[in-house]
Amino acid sequence: MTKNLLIVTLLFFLALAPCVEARVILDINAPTLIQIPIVLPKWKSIDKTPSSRTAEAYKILSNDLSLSGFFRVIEYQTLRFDLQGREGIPETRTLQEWNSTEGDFLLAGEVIFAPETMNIRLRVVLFDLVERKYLVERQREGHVQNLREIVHRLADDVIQELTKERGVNTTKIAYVVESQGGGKEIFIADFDGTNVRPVTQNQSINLAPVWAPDGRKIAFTSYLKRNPDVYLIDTDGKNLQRFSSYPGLNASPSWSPDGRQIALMMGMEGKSEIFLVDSNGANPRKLTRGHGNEASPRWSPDGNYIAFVSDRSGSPQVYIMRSDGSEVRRLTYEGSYNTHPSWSPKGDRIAYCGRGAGRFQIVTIKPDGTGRKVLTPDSGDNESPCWSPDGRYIAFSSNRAGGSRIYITNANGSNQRRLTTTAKGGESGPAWSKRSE
Amino acid sequence: MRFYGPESRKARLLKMGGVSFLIHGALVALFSFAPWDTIIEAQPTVYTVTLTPVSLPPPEPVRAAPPPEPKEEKVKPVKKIREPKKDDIVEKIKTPSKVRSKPLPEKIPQKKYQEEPDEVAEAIKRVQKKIETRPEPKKLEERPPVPPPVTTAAPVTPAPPVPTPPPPSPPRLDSQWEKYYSLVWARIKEEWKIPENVFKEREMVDLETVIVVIIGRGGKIQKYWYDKRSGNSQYDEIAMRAIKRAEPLPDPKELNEDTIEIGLRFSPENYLKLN
Repeated sequence: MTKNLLIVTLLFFLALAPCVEARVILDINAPTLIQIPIVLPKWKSIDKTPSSRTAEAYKILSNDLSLSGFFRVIEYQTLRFDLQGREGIPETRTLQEWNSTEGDFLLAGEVIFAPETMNIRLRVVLFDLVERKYLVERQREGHVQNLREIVHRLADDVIQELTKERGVNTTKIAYVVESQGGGKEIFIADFDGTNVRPVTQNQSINLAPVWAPDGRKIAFTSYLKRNPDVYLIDTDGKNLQRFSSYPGLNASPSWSPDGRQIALMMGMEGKSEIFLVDSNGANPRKLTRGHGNEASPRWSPDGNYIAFVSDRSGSPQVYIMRSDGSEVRRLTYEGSYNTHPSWSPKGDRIAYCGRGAGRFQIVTIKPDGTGRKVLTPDSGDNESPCWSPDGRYIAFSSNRAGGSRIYITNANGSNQRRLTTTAKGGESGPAWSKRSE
Repeated sequence: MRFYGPESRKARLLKMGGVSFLIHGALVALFSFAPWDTIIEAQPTVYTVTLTPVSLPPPEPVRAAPPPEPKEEKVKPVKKIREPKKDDIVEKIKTPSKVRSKPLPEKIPQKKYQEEPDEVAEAIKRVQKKIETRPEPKKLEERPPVPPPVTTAAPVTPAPPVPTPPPPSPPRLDSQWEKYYSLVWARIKEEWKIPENVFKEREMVDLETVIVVIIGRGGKIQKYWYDKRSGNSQYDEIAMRAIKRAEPLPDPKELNEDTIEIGLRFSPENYLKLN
């Protein structure tokens, strides 16, 4: 029996031996970071839609995709001659004709405009050119007056499809513009730098706008009644109301994520301190008890912490405390001047303005004080950073090209561009709205 | 209760000892012949691949029998081999051209990492050079569907100060096979692109996807599956797109094979920022 067992065992292993096969594993690392190449063939005007309308919608969408920083948009004018004239939505089986474009994706579209109702309808279809397949279709419509908004939403749809997170094309940026008479007014622009319009027009000095949680109002500091007070105003410039007007300085409000409390800096005790007030501006409670001046409070997205600036160590530095004022710790140590913290919406980084080598730079750092990264190049002064609601971009002001203007950068520092191409200068203090639902 | 007297018990012990000895002997013999866990260097040293017993197709006659394993090496059941451990990888990075001498704690497909993109660029250059200077085997040249894989390896260009290449380890794989793997590697590496700003910095750490492909006639991918997912479906898809874009891959016919199965491990480490 033992012998049998032995033979069986040996046979088993000998039979198995030749079957043991190997698989080679190749390591593919060091990827190249790219912008996704996306082809935009000419859009088709259905029925009697004027081709100018179609071209306008096409241009807005193409620009939105470019500004997002994710895409290298290949417009139809740059394509091979025979592809330039292809309009509308192609059949899936003909997708190989677009191989020469070297795009990864193709976004085709068509526009229907009804002059009687002034309704415009946009339909786009997204194809995958690598796998040669249809991916998704989106359609949006509305009054032609709202064409930009409609297209922005479509662009966000496309960005969501390809990056798994919605874009910010429907967001707006409020900022301060210096007027010729020496006053400063609040303005709003769309994410793509268009649709610039004033919010305040009171010839006073209006500063440091922030968006109220509902997105319909903007809070700002104004010297309208001589004392620096905090005001609220609707984004269309109506319903101005004085919100916080305690003696001394009232400035830099920051709403808690749940909207119930507001942190702001107040100077009712002589030097400026961080206070909490209720959402109606009442019931002020002092949070900071340092020796220095405290400024620029900003809530963390989870509502547990507040970042702020203090000169208690002799120079302005960014500090973090719990939202009840406890556990104060210093965040920044590099450089002798670090101000204007802004907490990223995901809570993983804090952007601030830091002075180094004689210039103001935009810097981001993790809340534990590690991972410090300078985002701006060595040119001009760069100040007042604020995050986009998706945490992918930062807006700031810079005088790198002469006058101070609003710039937008990817959160890693790439793809820096001016918000508006028309501004002559005198722009500062940007604040980014939430997405409109 | 007793079934055996003292003598018969002793005799039985001896028998059992003998059986045990033979079985162990058989095991040693088996693993001396199996292509277990051997590290091979592709030509040139662009990467290191490790053969890992995973599937059970018939053995390829072309492949040279690997040398016997060190005795202390323990065999792990094939099933366990799937998940590579981080520690092992780190260890690999540190000892780039040594054959693994320790038993695998888990069945890892062994490989070596090229630490620096520079090294990768350098390695590709060397492949390029080699292919330019050495006449390609006729078969390979004639194959029209196979794009010139090496010339297109250019994106890795930022070729900075050249580190001295690691000393080439003795080739253990048929040079045709090595070349084939090099070409496949270069084709896919060229297409390994990640959209900028899509993944947050902290997401870029620890992402690793292993996709197994079966390359068939004309370099077409006959079949593919995820051997290991990264946990981020978008990253997995992007890795898959790199393979699809690289199609057609070098034709297995060059090696007189109908199909070739290869594992591809995609990692975002040392990403290159070109724009």
